[in-house]
Amino acid sequence: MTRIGLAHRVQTLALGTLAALLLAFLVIPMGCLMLGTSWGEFSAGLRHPLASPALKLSLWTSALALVIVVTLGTPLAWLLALRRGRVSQLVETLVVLPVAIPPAVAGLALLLAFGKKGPFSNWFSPEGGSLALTTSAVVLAEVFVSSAFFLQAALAAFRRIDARLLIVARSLGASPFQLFFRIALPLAGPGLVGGAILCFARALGEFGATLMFAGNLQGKTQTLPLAIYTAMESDLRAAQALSILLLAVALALFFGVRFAERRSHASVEGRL
Amino acid sequence: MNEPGDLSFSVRTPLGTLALDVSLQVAAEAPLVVVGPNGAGKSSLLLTLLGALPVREGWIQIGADELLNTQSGVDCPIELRRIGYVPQDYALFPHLTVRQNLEFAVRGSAVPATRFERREQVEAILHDLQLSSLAERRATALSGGEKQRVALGRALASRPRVLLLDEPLAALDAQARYEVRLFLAEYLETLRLPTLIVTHDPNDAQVLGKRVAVIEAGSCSRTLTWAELCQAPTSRFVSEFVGRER
Repeated sequence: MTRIGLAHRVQTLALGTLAALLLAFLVIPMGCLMLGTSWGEFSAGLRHPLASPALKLSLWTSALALVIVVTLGTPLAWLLALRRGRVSQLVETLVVLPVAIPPAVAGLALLLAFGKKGPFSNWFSPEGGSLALTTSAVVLAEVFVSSAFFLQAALAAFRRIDARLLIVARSLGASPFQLFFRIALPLAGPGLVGGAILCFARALGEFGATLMFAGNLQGKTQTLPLAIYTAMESDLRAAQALSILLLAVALALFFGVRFAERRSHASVEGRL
Repeated sequence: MNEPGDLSFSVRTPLGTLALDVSLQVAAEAPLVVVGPNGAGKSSLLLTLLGALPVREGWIQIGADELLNTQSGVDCPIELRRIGYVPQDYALFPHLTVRQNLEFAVRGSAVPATRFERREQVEAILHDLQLSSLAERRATALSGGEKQRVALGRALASRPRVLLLDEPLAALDAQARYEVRLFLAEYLETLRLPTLIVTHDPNDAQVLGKRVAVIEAGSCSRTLTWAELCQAPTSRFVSEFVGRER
């Protein structure tokens, strides 16, 4: 009896040690970021001249990127969820691929598509224009890297809907719009909100693609992560204060996702 | 032979390891009960008639109207078949109230109606199925028997030409099952719609169906009365199924 008890304890301890190592590694840097500063230093950092324009730019470009992703991405996810053919599987892989693409690669790809030498350059101006180094480029970069987060969540939410509800709705003569707006959207709603929050968080944190495609122009393309990068060279306090701000936003968004997930399961089980 | 409005069909299609091969006719005045062992293809048969499962070979007709004919390439989509379907566990829209469930169906109805007429139709169904006092309840907050009536009302609200009921009483406890069965039998009598009912309960077969069809291993091509089924059980499943009566 005691031998078994001892063995159990040793094994649990071994697993616990491995888990604790990773946990510590994740928590310690965040703790240092939060605790290694005083309130005075924090508020001084927030008053850094780079901070306010970057925060404003970050918030409105991320919000615009979110609106674009949700408006175009919800129908895309719905159509993909309805179809299970080989083509839709291929499309699904394509649209979630940006999760795995390094942001720098995404930035280069956007530059090649929408830059001076891209196929659309004469759309912007007759002598060959470019979206690179503009605020539009910031939004495009955010859409490109964040859409997959929304699409994955939306696909999962639509697929969780009981297929019989959709069959019944169609047998009642529902039009595609009625099926989408009256049945699919309300049932997938909380899952979509969760995906939208993740998408917004990713857009807010976007760095690499923005730097490559939009550059780092203060007031025009310098978002909060780029401002942190710039501030680090001269004023570590400011960089730290801005980082804490982003971390706090991320934390708030994360609780939002958790809440949406709980509502999502409740809605599918019909408890809403 | 084919009366106006009767449902007749002959469908052949593979279902996993099974080959569904069913040819039957359902008249408005004689609801047909389909029985058979688990996995014999009963529910799948309803889905093929509904248009939710593909058919490899065959035809489906309501009166003279062709819904499916694989030879001439006719395949009417689910939305236009006007077949009322009540699945097992009813599949009520969980985020809508009883009234909204019915409204959704009335709006999808092929018969054009003004807003006022649609509201009248919903009220009439609520009244007919004794649901008026439950109209504003969420579909999830109903008892099994109530859900059953809402699902039936919702199917009828779309003005179907044929009614398909999949295990309409299986989700109910014994007491409710008895009451709902009698209610359903009476109600179907007044409806006079060609009705096909899938069940595994001999009592349902006896009370609800004027005709009985036995599906075994996907195949079925004739219908009998309950008495005929009892007199000459054609298989072990049938003799066990009617066993209680003998």
